[in-house]
This record gives sequence, structure tokens and C-alpha cells, in this order.
Amino acid sequence: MSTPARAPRPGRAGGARLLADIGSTFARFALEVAPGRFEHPAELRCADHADVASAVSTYLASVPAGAGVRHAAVATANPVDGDGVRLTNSPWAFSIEHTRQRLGLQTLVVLNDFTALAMSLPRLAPHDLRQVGGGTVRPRQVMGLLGAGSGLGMSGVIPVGEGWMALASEGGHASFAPRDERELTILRHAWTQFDHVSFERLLSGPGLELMHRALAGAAGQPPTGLTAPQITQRALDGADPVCRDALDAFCAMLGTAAGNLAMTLGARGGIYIGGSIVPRLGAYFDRSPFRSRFEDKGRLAPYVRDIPTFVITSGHATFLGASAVLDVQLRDMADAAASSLLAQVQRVLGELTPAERRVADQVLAHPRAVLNDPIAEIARAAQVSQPTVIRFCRSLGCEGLSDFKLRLASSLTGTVPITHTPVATDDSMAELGGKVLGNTASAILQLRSQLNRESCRRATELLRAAHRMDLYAAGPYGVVVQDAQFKFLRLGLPSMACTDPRLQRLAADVLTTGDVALVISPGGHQPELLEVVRTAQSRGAQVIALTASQTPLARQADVALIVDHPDDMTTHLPMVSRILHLLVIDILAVGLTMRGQAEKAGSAACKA
Amino acid sequence: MTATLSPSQPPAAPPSFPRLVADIGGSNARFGWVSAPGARVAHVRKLAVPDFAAPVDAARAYLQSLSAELGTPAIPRHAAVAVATAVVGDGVAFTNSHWAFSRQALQRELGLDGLLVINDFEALALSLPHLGEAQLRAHGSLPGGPGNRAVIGPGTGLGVAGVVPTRHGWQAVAGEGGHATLAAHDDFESELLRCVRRQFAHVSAERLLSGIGLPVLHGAVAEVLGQPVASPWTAEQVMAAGLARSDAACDRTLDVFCALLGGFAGNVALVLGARGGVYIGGGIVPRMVDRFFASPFRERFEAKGRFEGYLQGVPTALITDTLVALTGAAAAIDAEVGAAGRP
Repeated sequence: MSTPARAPRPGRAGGARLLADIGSTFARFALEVAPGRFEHPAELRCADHADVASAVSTYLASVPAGAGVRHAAVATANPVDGDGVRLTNSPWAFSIEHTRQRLGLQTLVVLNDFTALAMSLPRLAPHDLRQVGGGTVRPRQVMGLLGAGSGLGMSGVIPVGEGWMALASEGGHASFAPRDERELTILRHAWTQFDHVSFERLLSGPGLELMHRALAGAAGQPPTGLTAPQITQRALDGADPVCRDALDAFCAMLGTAAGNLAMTLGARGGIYIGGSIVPRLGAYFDRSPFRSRFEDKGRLAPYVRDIPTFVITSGHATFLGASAVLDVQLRDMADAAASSLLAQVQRVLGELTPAERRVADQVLAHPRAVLNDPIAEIARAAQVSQPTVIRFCRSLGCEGLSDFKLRLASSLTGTVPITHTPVATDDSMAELGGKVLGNTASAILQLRSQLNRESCRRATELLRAAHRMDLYAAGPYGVVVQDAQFKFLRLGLPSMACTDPRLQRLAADVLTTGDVALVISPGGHQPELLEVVRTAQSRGAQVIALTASQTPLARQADVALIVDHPDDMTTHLPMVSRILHLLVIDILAVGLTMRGQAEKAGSAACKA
Repeated sequence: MTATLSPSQPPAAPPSFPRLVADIGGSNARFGWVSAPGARVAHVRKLAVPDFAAPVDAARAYLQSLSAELGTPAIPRHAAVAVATAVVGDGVAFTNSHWAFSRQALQRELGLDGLLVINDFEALALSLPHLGEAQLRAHGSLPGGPGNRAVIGPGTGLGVAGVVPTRHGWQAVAGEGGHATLAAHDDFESELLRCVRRQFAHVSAERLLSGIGLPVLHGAVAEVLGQPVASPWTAEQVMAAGLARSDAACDRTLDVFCALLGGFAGNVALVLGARGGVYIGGGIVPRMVDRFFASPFRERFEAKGRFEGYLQGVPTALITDTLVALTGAAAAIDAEVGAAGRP
């Protein structure tokens, strides 16, 4: 009996994870050894290290088992869009993919630190938070986030399916709404400097200084040039009434902003306050006008009164959120990879023999069992003979069971590294250019995991031994054989590209033993083409086919290079598949060059 | 061990079409029919709320006339009802009419496999991705790009909602955004807020940007202009005199209304990250379309300092079709049950 398929355990299946939070001065690190358990926290000065990779290496070298880390998530104070990351106020700039390779990581996720904080909200425990005022968290409802520091960040998370999605809000830049005369005084002062006064202009470090200047001026005091930390300290000490006034106004305005955010998002899951300013105010904040202002929404007061507000007190909230995003990426990768091979099995289902189909059914129903079971067990579970299992594997373009298992394993564990996906919104992904490039890139990565290396090796052997090569294709694939002709001629192999069916037949009829015909056809079933293949083979030539799995052409050829891509099946406008074919030609060309060089080097060594 | 069935064969399920959609306001209830997968909302009919004791009676009257029209019994499998009231729990009561109903009872009485009851602004938001040229008038290019979208509707009150593209389709984000505190853009507007604040401690956007708000806004404008009115005008009076330009304060009120609405819409766009577009719905602006498009609305929408560039890239449009909530209700069923014929 086969073992039932076990669901992959989300979380630490891949061992301890490295988490980092990179600011302009310090980079903080921790290892997450079990979900939510952070160990070996460390803080490194950015200035002491040449770049991100060397800071990470230094940290990993300092912790036990650091060398075994395969997955990492890095939060930065920048918007992250694409592979290149440049940090503000810091000399560090890096490529995500390059850094991943240098560190030998399987997965490296880089995300904005505020997005990470937002994604942490659903995972925060009661001891990570301090509630200010009343209200009750409604489970699986929208949560809002505000963070006042050098600016005013706003975000939120929305329950989507089983998980959560971060909202890409720019609410800090919404117009400031004054509530009383003190705030109107501040606003008038700010208007002398800015045409538009956003909440961020006031609810930030520089904003606190501006408010202090406005209130000091209104009180007839000379300008003092106090910094935000000084203003905060004097207010907390209770010694300076203007500082206290400024900090009270700050807390009250934050209440207005938080209330507006809560109502606009319908944030019945609560409003959460992070950033560098508020968590340092301690009990002062709880006594401040923040909560009463939050609830001060006229007729809708009962609505906001029911929404709880929290200060995030945990020091590792950003790590939690970064880890949550890493979870999603790892799961997506596993799903995508598994579905790609399993989807391939699905696609050929109708073309399999009834016996092979029973193997396919077994694979689809219990992929993990098939991965672990010996051939006898698989054959028994599918009620077929062992040679049928092998035939099934070959039908999918694999050499045999171990080759098939290798591909299945990489599908199920997801070894294709995904370095960056915007998590805040899908908008840049949905952009047309991004989609075409993204689809092509993922198809190339898929080809990397699917292409049979043994077939490539054999095809290269045939080319190396060939006296001449004919290249046959039709329609949109003509461009691929033109490209191949150019390349192989340059490599010294007499080649002729031929896209006219009648010419192909005539050409095939003059091939001889030791010649090769490379035939490109994703459909691989046109009778004329198969006739050409038969002619070439009857003349003693070898046929290499570049085609999809399970086509008559694949079965008839001496070596089949399998490229499966759905756009062959559904449209007559090949885009991605054509690029995949060009790449396979490149692989053959490079293979031919390398072998040529190896031989030259070998013969040179013999002569010496 | 027996061979398992191919997972590509879904289990048989009853069809989820036809579908009934409804949009129930204070005075009118609109009904529509979605006959098959991919079909648009059709056979739309408007019934007067006072003519019927309860929603189920109006729905039955609609289905009866539809049966006559189609020549075959109209029996819906699923239904979605958009209501102009809060949706919490099983009981739904309307603030502006005598209607009230139980969700479970309505589903049973209409013999439905499923009934969705959603807030009308949520329905409006869900319709946004489906709206085309015929249903909109845009300031420049039509919305349609990727990204979140928002709708703001000054009607009796001020509704606000957004939709976010997710891997599970478009998802509505709806709260009570109309009750956010209103911001002033300049000294004139600060004075307006100061006047209104004497009457209402908290001045929300809805306090001025709605049917109930227009008289309040007019009173404040008249006062700041030095022509205070003895008793409040009605929204209709302000609208009529403003459009006819027969009264200076009313004339100014409409401009201020559009300007404040523009500033508020810009704030909503920023908070919801609505780069895909901001739509204006509700009943008020469609009554002053030309005035609206000649107003400072768009200019004020963009006037957000460092984020002017961000907002310049956000399209804005007026929803001119009054039936779009039905489209949104149909989209809500798609999201819940699936857009194909079988769930």
C-alpha cells in the first residue's frame, strides 16, 4: 500500500531562516529557528561592511549552523521594485539575484520594511502589543497600520483567501485635517512653508519640530531649534509646556489620521501603531488625546469606538512579517513547480496507453508516494507491470524512473529560486511588459528544470560526429532554423536551413549516413513532416527533434529534445516557445563548441 | 489499491444560473437578470419601494413579469442584493424605508441555492473593473490600468469603497470613509470649517459633501461671504439656484462642493493606493455634469504637494450609468459561486 501524501509543513521545512532589517546606520539580524522563534539577534554597523552580502556572511559566520541557512528575507527602508536595490542614506546598493548567488541561498526575498511590518500584523501575539483604549479585534477583518518616524507610513492588510495581502497605501500624504484652534494655528504656520500640508508634514520627526516652532512662535517665544528627540524628552519630563503642547498635538493628530484610516479601510481588525516615535512614548501616549481623538468621529463614534488601537511593542515585528512573506513565496514556488510537472502529466493523459494512464493517475493522486516508492511498489499501486512504469516515464521525455523522480522532486520542493515578487500589490506585475517578460522568464526557468540533459548530450554527440546537418521547420519556427544555420556554419558544421516542405523532402532524400536532420515542430504530427523524417532515416541519417512531449515526431526521432509550453497548444502565435527553441539551439551550439575545445586541448596535450 | 479517478473530472453539480440581482435604495428597487455564464445583466426593471410590503413581494412581482416576457418561468438559482444600509447579521432593515427582511427567509421564499446581501457601495466598487466607455465620463483617459480603484458617491450620504486586485479576483474594501475628518485646502475653506464646527463638533466629509450636507455647506458659504441665510435652504434649492447662477452663494457653493470633493477624492486615492482610478458615483454629481467637469475638482484632486505626480497618473471618471450596482452584484456572485455555470 502506498503511504498517503503528506501536506508540506509550512514554516521551517527548509531549516533555520535568516532575517535581516537593514536601516541606514545599522543592520539587524536574527535566525528564525522555529515559527516565531528568533535567536542570535545581532546588530552590525553598515559602515563596517562593504556590502549587504559581506554583512550577511559576517553574521552567518558568527552563529551556529549559520552555514546551513537556505532561505532568507531582508527588509529595507526603500521601495523594492525589481532586482536592483539602492538604499537611501547608505552606500549599499545590490542586485538581489547576485547577492543570493554569492551567499549560496536557495531563496532570498527583499521587501520594504513597512510592508514587512504590515504583513506581521496577523501574526502578532498579545505580548507583542499594548492596547490603547477599548474596542475588540474582529477576526479575519482588515487591519490598519500607521508608523511615524522620519515620515508617516500607512498601510494595512486585507484578508484574501486563506492569507493576507498588504495594501500599498500612501495615506501619509493625504491632506491634514485640523480639528481645533491649536491645530489650525499649526496648519497656518505650515502653510507659510508648504503649499500642501499632508499628515506626514506634521506626524513625523521633522513635523514635530515644525509644530514646536509654530506653537513657540504663537506663545511669543524665540525660536529654539530643538530637535524631535529633545522635544519628546522635554515633554516626557513635563518641564516644558510648549514641548508638551507640541507632543500632545502630535498624539491628537495621530488620532485623527488613525481614525480616518480605520474608517476608510473598515479596519475592524484593529489599528496598529509602529514607527520610531510612538513606541518610545510609553505610558504618556496612553494618557494622551490620541484615543479620544480617534473616537471623535461624530455620528460614527460608536463605529470607531469598537475598533481597538494598539502600539506595537515587539522588537521583532518586522522579522515576523518578512518571514510571513517568505512563507508565501516558498509555498507559491512549491505549488508552481509541482503544478508544472503534474500539469505536464495532465496534458498528456489522453495520449497515454490505458496502462500508462494508470501510472499517471497514481502520480497525480500521490506524487510524494511515487517519489519515495521503489518501482515495484509504484507498479503494484498502479496495477501495471514495471516496464509500463518505465514507458510512462519515457512518454514524458524522461530517460527512466530515476530521471522522472528527479524532476518530480525538484517540482515538489521548488528549487527554482524566486528572488523578488512585489508583495504589496500586483500592479507592476500586471503591467503588460512585466507580464510578457515574467512569463518568458518563468518558462525559461521551467525549461531549465525540465530539459533532459541526457538527450542534450546525445544530440551534441550526433552533431559532433555529423558531416552535414539539415534544419527543417515551418511557419513561425523558420526563424529558429535560420538562427541555427548561422550558428552551426560559424562553428564549422555544414548546415542548411530549409522551410519549404517540398524542398525538405528533396533535401532529405540526398542525406547519407553520418548526416543529421534537426526538425523543429511543437505540434510534431504533420504527415508531410513525418514523411521527411522517415525519408532522412531511410537514407541512414539521424534525426534530432525539437518538439513537445508525446508527439509522433518525438517518438519517431532518434533523439527528442522535449520543450513543452502551452502556447503551442492554444494559439497559432508562438512567442515564448520560439524563445525556448532558440535557447535549446544555443545549448547545442555551446555544447558543440565546448567539445570541440576539449578535443583540441586533448590533442594538444597528446602532442606535447 | 484501486486506480483513482482523474482529478480533471469535476463532480457533477447543479447549475448556478440563472441569477437574480437587485439594488434596493430608499425609494426604488432595481432588479436585473443574468441568464447564463458571461451574459450581461438584462431585463432591468425599477419598482417603487412604497408599492410593496417587503422585498420578497417586489422580487416576486419582477419574476412574474419576467416570466411573461420570456414566455417561460423565470426561476433564479442564485441572487445578490445590494442594499443602502449596513449589512450585519441575518436581519436587514432600511433606514430610509419601511422595508426589512431576513436573509435566510428571503432565500427560502425565493427557493434560492444561494443569496448574497452586500452593501450597495461594495457592489458599486465590485462593478468598477467591468465599467466601459458607455457608462463613464472621464476627465482625461478612461480608468482601466492595473492597481486598486476607489469609488466615492455623494448621494443622500457619502459612500466610499475600494477594490483591490488579488489572486482570488477583485476584492472590495469598504468602510465608512465618508465620515473621515474633512481637510481644508486654504483660508477660505478653513473659515467654512470653522463656521460648520460651531454647529457640529466633528466635521466629516459627509457633513458637507452629500445631499444632507449641501444645505450646511451653503449656509457656511453664505456666512463667510457675508450674506448669511436666515433658515437653511434645501439641497434642491441650492442645486437649482447654483446651476442657474441666480444666487451668488449657491453658485459658489457648487464650486466649493466640487473643489472639496476633489481634495477628498485625492485623499481617498492616497489612502487606498488607488492608482487604477477614482470614480465618482452617487446621485448628486450626475445632476451637475457640465458644472462638475468645468469645476476645480481635478485640479484639487492633484494638489497634494510631493504626491502631485502620483495623482496626475490616477484617472478620474464620473459614473453616468445608474445601473452599475447590479453589475457589481452580479460580480459578487461570480466571486462567491464562480463565473462558470457550475460551481
